[in-house]
Amino acid sequence: MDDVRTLEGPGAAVSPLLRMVTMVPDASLGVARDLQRAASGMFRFGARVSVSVVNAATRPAFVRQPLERVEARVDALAVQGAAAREVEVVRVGAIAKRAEPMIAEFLEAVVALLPIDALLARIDVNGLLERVDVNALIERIDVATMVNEVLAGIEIGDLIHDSTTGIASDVRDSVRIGAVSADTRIARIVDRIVRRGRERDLVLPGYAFLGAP
Amino acid sequence: MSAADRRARAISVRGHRAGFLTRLVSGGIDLVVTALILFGVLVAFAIGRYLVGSAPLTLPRVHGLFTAAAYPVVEVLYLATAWATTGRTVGDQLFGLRVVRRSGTRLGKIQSLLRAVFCAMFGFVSMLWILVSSKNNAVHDIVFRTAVVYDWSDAVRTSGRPATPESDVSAVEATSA
Repeated sequence: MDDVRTLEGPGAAVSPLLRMVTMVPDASLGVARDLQRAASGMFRFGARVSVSVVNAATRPAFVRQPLERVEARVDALAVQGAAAREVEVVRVGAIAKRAEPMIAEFLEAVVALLPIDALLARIDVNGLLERVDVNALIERIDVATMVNEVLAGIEIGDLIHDSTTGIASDVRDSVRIGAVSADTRIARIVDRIVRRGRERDLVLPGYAFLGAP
Repeated sequence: MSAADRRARAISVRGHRAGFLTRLVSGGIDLVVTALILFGVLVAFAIGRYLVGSAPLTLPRVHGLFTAAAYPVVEVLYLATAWATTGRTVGDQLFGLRVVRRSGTRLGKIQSLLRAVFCAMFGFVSMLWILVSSKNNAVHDIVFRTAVVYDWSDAVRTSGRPATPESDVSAVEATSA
């Protein structure tokens, strides 16, 4: 709520026109989303109509009978293909099952042949580390070039987009909250004038929402 | 205001019938949008005429009578399409409003069209009833059994089945983020 007060306070000379302008991107986004939904709706409607037309077109007997013959033929071929596929799957599975113990035995024999413990015992890890000149390594790294490459990888445009979107959302929400407050105030004034004894019934039954008072 | 505050505020008013001022300003914005759509149609017509024929690229000169007749038609189409699809126009989107049936579901096509015709004819006069209605109803809300509620989320409710709490929270979070 502090944001709202800041915008509405006497010290802040933010023009309502400017606030409206900052809301334009969000409103445009809303329009685009609505248009997208409308397009999806039209596409679904078109698909439904197409299905209905196809159903109606294939309903007559002179169209249906040849279609049924073709369908029966395709169905028989599909069953035949599925059976062949199952046979192949079983055959490949049996081969793999038979080969598995042989492969495991071969790998174990290879590992047994290698003198891994003797090799590890001969390696002097401390001696190796002492031979590495860390300072020389760091000197060879071009830090400036690395930083430049990292900075070049950062999308400044995305950063600006994200921040401006956040500002627009803040303004939009502030306007919405302000509008709700203004609605409430106007309703109270009118209720006082017409001497309405009870509060307005504003909750819409059936409109499920969280946090309803 | 933090995102959490906004989310709390959005949830607290969600499903409440909107008041007079919000709906009045939202309606005013929709009048401007209608004018822009009409202008866009004229621009598209001018471009089409320029591409097809040899006429210069100028806006067509329209008679005042044409504007007077075309404006309500465009307005009705715009309002009906918006209400029947997402339940909100551009003005509604700006103020987080949604037009729904009394059951909370989306309006049907015929219902949207009839409501749009009524609003194009008597919209602002009809809205004055919101001031004295105990349920913030305009005359067209009573006639067509509709309601305009605060709803900052983008989820469109097409059936009477209530949305799950998770979807409600995520929708509000997505809008407020």
